[in-house]
Amino acid sequence: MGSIQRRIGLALLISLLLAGGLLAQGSLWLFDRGLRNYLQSDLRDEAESLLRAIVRKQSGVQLEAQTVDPSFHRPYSGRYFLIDIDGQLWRSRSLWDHELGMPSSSGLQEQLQGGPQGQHLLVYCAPFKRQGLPVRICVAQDYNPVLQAFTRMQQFALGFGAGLLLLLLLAQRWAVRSALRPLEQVRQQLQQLEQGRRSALELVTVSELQPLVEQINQLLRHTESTLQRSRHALGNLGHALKTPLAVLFTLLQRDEFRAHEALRQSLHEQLLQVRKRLERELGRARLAGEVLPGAHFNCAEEVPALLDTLRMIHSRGLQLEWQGETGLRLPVDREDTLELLGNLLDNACKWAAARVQLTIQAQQQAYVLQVEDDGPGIEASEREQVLQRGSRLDEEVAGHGLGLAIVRDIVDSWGARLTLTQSPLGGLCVRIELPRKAA
Amino acid sequence: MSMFSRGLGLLLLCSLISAPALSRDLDQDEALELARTGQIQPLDALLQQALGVYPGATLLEAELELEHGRYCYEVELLTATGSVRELELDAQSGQLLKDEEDN
Repeated sequence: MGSIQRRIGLALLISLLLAGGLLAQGSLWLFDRGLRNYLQSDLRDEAESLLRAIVRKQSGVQLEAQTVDPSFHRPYSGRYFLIDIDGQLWRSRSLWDHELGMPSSSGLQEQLQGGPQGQHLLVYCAPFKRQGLPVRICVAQDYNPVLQAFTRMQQFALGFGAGLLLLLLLAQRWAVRSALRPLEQVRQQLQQLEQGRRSALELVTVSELQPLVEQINQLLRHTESTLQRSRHALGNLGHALKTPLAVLFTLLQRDEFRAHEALRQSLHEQLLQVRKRLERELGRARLAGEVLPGAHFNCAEEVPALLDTLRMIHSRGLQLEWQGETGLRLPVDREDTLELLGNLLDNACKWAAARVQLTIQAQQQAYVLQVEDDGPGIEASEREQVLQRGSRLDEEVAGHGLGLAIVRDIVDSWGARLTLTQSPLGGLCVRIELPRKAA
Repeated sequence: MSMFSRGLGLLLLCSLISAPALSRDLDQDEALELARTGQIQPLDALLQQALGVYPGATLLEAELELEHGRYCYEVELLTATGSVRELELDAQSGQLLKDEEDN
């Protein structure tokens, strides 16, 4: 997996190495040029002094010792000369037994010549005329100290450059980290969104991320409105079909059908199928709400109102209670949960003798919802059958079996587990385990 | 004596005539000729030896002498500690003949 950090770091490293290397080597080269040019004028001065020291005595042309620099006398001193006067070669005593070739070209020699004791000589040559004789003077100077200084400078620059590079890389690392921090914030917000603890992303402080956040928010709004629309459309369709269905059921009771009992029965069954299918689809449309942002069920807010409604419907003095931690929120759609609990509680109320109890717990692995009553309950052998898709234990009571089917649809869509057991209260206990991860 | 000889033969002749038994300083041209013909070792090589004893020393002065038919180098070295040492080396074998502080 590629890393932005590494890519930027690599680009920085390469560009800095290239720029730094070129700059250091280039400036060293320029400095070397400048220094050689400066030394050239020194060497020319030397050559002219030597020319002045050439005098004619009675014994012939010779070099006057007093006017010659003493360093030309000391062996291997680092300063040397060669004088070619009319075919005769005079060597400085400092050269001693080292043989220095006389360059053929004039001016400063491009190449450094080898000297004694590992010296590198900068050589300058110039032709003159003196005492009527052609004179060629070459002056050489040891360039080693300068080369050594250059090496030291290179080492220093290398160390300094490496340190600087390290510092820059660290700074860059920090900069990238801090630049990417808002992305992590957005990720956390998206996670909160998924958990239903947030309905939109907050605008972040970085302008580069602003369009992304706005786009996501817009997408959320769009998704929500689309869902709302399709829900409404399905709801409207359901409602629109309910009345004709009811009319059809009434029509089936007419005397005209008595003569055709088989036909009536068949029509009744088909209509029941239509209604069942219709209600299931309506239930599914509500289930689609699961993907809706901000989907969560706040127990303390919703449950009391639900219980109030049920108390109103079953006005026979039932004792409806609920237990749950304060501030507990289920990470599932509010309407689905209301539908689920409504169905379960409605069932329980129908069968209960006096008490119905709802318990909502947040455990380590899962949320557990339990609806219990003190009614007759269901025989253990029949419980399995109740859970079968589409089966109804109380087929006479319209809507009851369907309620359980809807419950199972919702439970399935949550990835939760539905179990029926015997309640300590005496009746049925419906237990739903909603795994935290799946939610 | 002139520092810069113009004729090797003339000087050799002079020295042979005037003082055959006495020691005589040789100049750079003679040194070059002797080193080239292999009669003595190059000063550079001899110094390498001496610098093995005194690392970091610099050459102050070197004189080549012919003593009783033997070529000797008298060398003054400035050691790294700042003292000056006088060395006498056999120019042919490189053998250290003398090594003392100058006085």
